[in-house]
Amino acid sequence: MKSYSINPMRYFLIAFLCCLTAHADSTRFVRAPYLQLATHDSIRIVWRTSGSSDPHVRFGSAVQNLTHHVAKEKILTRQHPSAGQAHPLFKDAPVDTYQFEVTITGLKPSETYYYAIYDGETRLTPEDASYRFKTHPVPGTEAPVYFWVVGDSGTGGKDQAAVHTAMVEHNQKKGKPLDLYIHVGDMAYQSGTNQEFSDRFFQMYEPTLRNTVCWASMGNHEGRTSKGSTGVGPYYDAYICPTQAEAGGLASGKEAFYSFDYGRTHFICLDSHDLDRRPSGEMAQWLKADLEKTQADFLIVYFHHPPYTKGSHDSDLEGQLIEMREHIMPILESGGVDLVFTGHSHIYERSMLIDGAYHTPSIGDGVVLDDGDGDPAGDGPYLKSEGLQPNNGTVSIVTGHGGTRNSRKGTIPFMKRIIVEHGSCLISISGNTLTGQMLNSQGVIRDTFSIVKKGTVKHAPLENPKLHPDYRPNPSKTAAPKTSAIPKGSMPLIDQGANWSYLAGAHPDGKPIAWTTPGFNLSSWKIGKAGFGYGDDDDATTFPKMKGSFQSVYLRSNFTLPLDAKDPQLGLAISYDDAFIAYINGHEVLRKGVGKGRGKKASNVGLHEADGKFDFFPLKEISEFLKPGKNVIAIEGHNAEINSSDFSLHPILLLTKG
Amino acid sequence: MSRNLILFLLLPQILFAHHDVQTTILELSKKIETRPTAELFYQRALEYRALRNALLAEEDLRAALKLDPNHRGALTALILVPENPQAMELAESFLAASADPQHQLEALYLIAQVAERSGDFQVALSSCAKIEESFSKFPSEISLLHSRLLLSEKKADKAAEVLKKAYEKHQSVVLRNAWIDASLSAGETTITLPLIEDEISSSRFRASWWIRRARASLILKRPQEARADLNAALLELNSRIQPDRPDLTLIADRGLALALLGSKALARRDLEQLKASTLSKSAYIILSSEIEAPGH
Repeated sequence: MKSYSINPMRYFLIAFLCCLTAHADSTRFVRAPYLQLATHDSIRIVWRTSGSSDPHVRFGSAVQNLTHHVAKEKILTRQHPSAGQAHPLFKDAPVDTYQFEVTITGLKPSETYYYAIYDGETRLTPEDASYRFKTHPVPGTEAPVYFWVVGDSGTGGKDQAAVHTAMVEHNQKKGKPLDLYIHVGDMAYQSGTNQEFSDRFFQMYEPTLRNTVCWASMGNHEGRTSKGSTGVGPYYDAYICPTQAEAGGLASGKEAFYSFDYGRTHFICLDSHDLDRRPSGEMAQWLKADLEKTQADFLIVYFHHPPYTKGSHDSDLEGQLIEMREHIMPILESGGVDLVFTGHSHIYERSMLIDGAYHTPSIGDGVVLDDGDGDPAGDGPYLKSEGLQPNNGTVSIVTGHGGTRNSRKGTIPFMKRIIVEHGSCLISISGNTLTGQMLNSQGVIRDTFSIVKKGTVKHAPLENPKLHPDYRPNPSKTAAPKTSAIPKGSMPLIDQGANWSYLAGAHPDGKPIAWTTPGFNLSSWKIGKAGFGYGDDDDATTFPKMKGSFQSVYLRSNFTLPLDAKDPQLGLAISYDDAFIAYINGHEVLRKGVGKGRGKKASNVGLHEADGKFDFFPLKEISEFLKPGKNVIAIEGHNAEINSSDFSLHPILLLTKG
Repeated sequence: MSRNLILFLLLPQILFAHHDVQTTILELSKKIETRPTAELFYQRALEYRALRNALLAEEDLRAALKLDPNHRGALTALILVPENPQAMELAESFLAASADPQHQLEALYLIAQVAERSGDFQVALSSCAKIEESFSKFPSEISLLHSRLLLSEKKADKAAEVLKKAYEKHQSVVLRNAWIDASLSAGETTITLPLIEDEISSSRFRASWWIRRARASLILKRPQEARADLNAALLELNSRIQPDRPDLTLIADRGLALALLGSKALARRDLEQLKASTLSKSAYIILSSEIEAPGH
């Protein structure tokens, strides 16, 4: 077999020449021209230069015939705050940066125009047909739309470039230009600064951005420097999003969340990062009103934090993700959403046709309307009623695989495709059919599905849906504790499946019970969801290396005793195998199966099987250790044998009286 | 290929090798162990908060402030921790230490939020009023909070004034709808009714607008028209509400329709469902007052 090797010097030479070429083409631009806020009769063109210039724009219906002129006076200039202008750039932009924003109005709908940027008499953009824009169709009119969706791409690295190149080449091969581009956030790692935006977003996507509007949603990394409530920061400098329903939809008054129409498709962008996600919040109230108003045939929604994922993030554990699922998804589905795009989790995950999947943790029962693959060449497209009908089925897509390192930690039961490869999504809507494809960074289509809307389609959740083959239901996550001994009216202070700090494979630092006292430094401990263990397939946090290597696991958590609790009494419901000792605020309060000693000196450990049930133990004579407000519970679990086939520790702390 | 070149080519991947929240916590913990800084504690607090571990998050926020009492992120987050007994004290010290106008605005808003939370409406109202008097630009949330406080104090006409001004400034449909609602609470129909009619004729789902028109009809002593609108609203709402997993914004609408129809027991059931959720009181402030009202 012939082998290939790269000569490092040749690589550098090529890279150097590429840099020189790029530099020569964009000498005057800090950010080359890009499009924003297209409507059926207007467009914005934005660019940046280093140092002042005499900006003009020419445009027209042919490359060689730019008949219209926009004079300097009609171009908004933005600079560093030190320049004292009404609309300053964020303070991290260099002082000599000039951002120019031109609004071209009075255009014809669905029409292609060509443009050029000038500095005085000097033309800055080449005479090239790629410097063009196409206006939207009039909202509400029949028009096909083809768009690209990318997430979590902003590294400036080779994988991001490969994903972009694959899309460009695919569209060239198909002769199908994009109508628009959606980015679901994390487009400028690490903190969405001015420089990171220039290097990792604008430079990377420049050939696409010069002729395609990117409609963006803010990710958590941009959220480090930009703020949704004020609309201030490098993210808000980069994008001009509708606030006054300029492109359809309803006025949100904020760039953080907005909507727009393309023909009979309605697009909604939400800010899942730093705004109130509750149904009573301003964003959800706007969303409700916007959904009541739209008369579109298809509804596409995008935001950063996914309601369903087990990629690099876990939607069963993380607050923003849980809130988007529990609070926002019901509003979207009662409004008839078709497709939800998100990122944040670095993976491609595409759901079946689902509805009402708001549980935590996510379950597959009662939420799947169609468990097929949606592929016209496979199980057939997903069918829905004409127009937007409440709770008629949603496809949820995590497309956080746009450039940074991918990973997977589990399986959401109703996912149809889980692909750990770099890539992006291409969606086309024409007539009554929406077709979605995942294109990987090698240019290969890895997933295809369709939604066809025709007549009236009534769905009911499938009784026995065919869930993802990798999904393993976890009894500890779904079953209620099997014990009858818990006193009625008990209130969990630490619930089943709660998060605990834990230490496994080592013993705590310091004196034997120092780790059980308030104020102990837990910085080297991990956080995990109960139950803990291995070998019996009922644990949320597993220790695959425990067998044969260590016998003890340490758990610790804070709990809050209600300030008004009178003579409080506590109990521990615990599923355990084989033994444990429990402490409250540094005092031992319960010992089961540990003959003597504690920690690494624990001995005479007896055998006990958890059997998937919880044993209840009242914690007696502990009142002197308790205090109103914050308290600490610590539990050490021990296996009798180092080679035992399993280990379990799943505590629930209960307030049984008071 | 030399090791350096490999590193160079892989650098973006290494730099942006993102971890899950738990691994991030572990990495931050290691850094904190060797060289603790306020920012590291603050970053870890955000990760704990992402995991909904409020207690560990609070511990880290306090640790951050111990190292840097002026760390604004940590201070703001700690002030907003529910049931923090020191919240007002911290918010006031935040205000005292704020020289920058933007920081002053943030501090006043924090004071208003903490005061609303603790039921000290007068302090909250005066903070909102101060922001609106002193700053030409401020987020629309402040006007929404201000109007909510005024509605709680049964000053619907003042709430409508605040919202109208805010709507003229921000042009947000949320402010406009809240202004219409507050105006109806104040008994105003001349300006609001044509707006409501416009929305009824152009919306896909009309229940919330039928309810608003019913409120106007009741003010205008047209109970039959109100009843027809409320029944139509209930029909539409019930077709959209999933009994097991409802959209709570629709439950709020249904509760209000039921209360206006006089079905107060059923309305109360919807209200209890809203109260049991994580919704703020603003979601059911009008519903609560309609249930309390003597009857239409």
